[in-house]
Amino acid sequence: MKRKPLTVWAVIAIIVTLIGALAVSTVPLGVGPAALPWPNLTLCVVFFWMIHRPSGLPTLAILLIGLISDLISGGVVGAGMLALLFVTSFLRSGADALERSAFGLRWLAFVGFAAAVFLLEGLLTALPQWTIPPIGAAFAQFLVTVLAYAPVSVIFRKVLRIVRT
Amino acid sequence: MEARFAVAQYRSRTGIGHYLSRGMLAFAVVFGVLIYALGASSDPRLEPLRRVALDISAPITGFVSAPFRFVRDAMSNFGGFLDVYEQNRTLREDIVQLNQWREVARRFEEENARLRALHNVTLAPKYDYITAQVVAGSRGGFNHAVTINVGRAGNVNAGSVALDGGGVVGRVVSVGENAARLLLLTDLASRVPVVVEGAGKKKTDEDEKDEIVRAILVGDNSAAPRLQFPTKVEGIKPGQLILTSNDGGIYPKGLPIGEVERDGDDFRVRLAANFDRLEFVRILLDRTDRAIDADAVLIVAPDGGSGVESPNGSNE
Repeated sequence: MKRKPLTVWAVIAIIVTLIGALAVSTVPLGVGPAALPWPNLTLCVVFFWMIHRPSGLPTLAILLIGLISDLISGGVVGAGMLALLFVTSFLRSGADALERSAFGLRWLAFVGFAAAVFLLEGLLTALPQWTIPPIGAAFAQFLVTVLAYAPVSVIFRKVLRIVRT
Repeated sequence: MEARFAVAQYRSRTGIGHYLSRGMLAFAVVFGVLIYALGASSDPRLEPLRRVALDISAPITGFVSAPFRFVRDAMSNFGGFLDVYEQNRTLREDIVQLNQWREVARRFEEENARLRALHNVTLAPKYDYITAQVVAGSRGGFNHAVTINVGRAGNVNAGSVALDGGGVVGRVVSVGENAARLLLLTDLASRVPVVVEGAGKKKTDEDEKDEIVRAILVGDNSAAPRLQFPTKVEGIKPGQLILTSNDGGIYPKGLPIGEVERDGDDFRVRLAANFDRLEFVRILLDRTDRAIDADAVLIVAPDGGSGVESPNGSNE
């Protein structure tokens, strides 16, 4: 079995799902200290497409996604972008094997992927202030992001009919 | 078959595509580090990018968040319906207290009017305000910022202060045409000069007058920011009011921020603003005219007289 070639529809699906994820990730349901833990859906969508259509997310696309995410979230510009860039560069080499693996293994890989991105982004955000912030809120967001990956993966595979030929 | 697979793998590792992707990664890393360096030092060269991102993302997020807000409000209203008896009782108590305060306020207002009339004072309003809706928030644990739907078109500038009904929420750090970003007081990068009301009251008659105790409110991504570098620690007690001090000129003087609370040997501030339901904020608009529309005037000219120095340096 080999991957389906990257079609125009796949590119459109990637762009639309990424814009949706970026927008939903900033929904203001309680903000600042009162914010409810809310998944970083951009990470879920990037991981999903990196596994199933890696050619649709080249390095420059990852760079752009990270930059846009940083600009609209209001954090340290470049922190999330660098974290995403480093971690996806490692993920790219294992994408093929991960796509063929069972769902449980893919989910486990996402846990490692999300943990690495969160850790690196946290370090890069704290570095300019030279202080270690409380990690409770970031950890809560990490947990809900991990939980969110399962429905995102299942729905995308069903709706977008992501299968191998 | 295996040999053919090995050859294909070797070609993929040494082909032009391989070197192109490596080169692309190297470029991306260098570009990423450069942007991070600019972002970490809050370099103004990133401001145009921030503005464009704000103006494009604010309407999209506002549209996407509408159904989420509807569900949240419906759940909140249902919760309120269940608590209606308790809320009614609390409201009745509040009405009684507010009536007392209304009488006090009316007396003060009359007294102020009399005193102003006596002195012939006409006060020019220095600040105006505009109400804005919060259309996007940062959902992560790394930064506390929100996007509002008013920008330069509504006379909002970088540095404008935002309040809710309770107190200061934060300040505008980035402005687009129709959107702006607020850095909340709780953010890791937030620093606000404050005064601790009542902490420097004179204790004996020998003290000449009340001392003003200044400090810096330092955000650390927790719900209660730290009170650091107080000019005097002894007088600070839990419950004292924290107000903005206008040191640095960004925050107007005397805006309520919160109350002191103890955290071991340190002090923190319980914020007066209600972040649970931060849907609308008031943005203070400074009406002070800071435009310099006259030539510089020398108080004492070199020849002992006075004169006007023109931009090219010659005295007229």
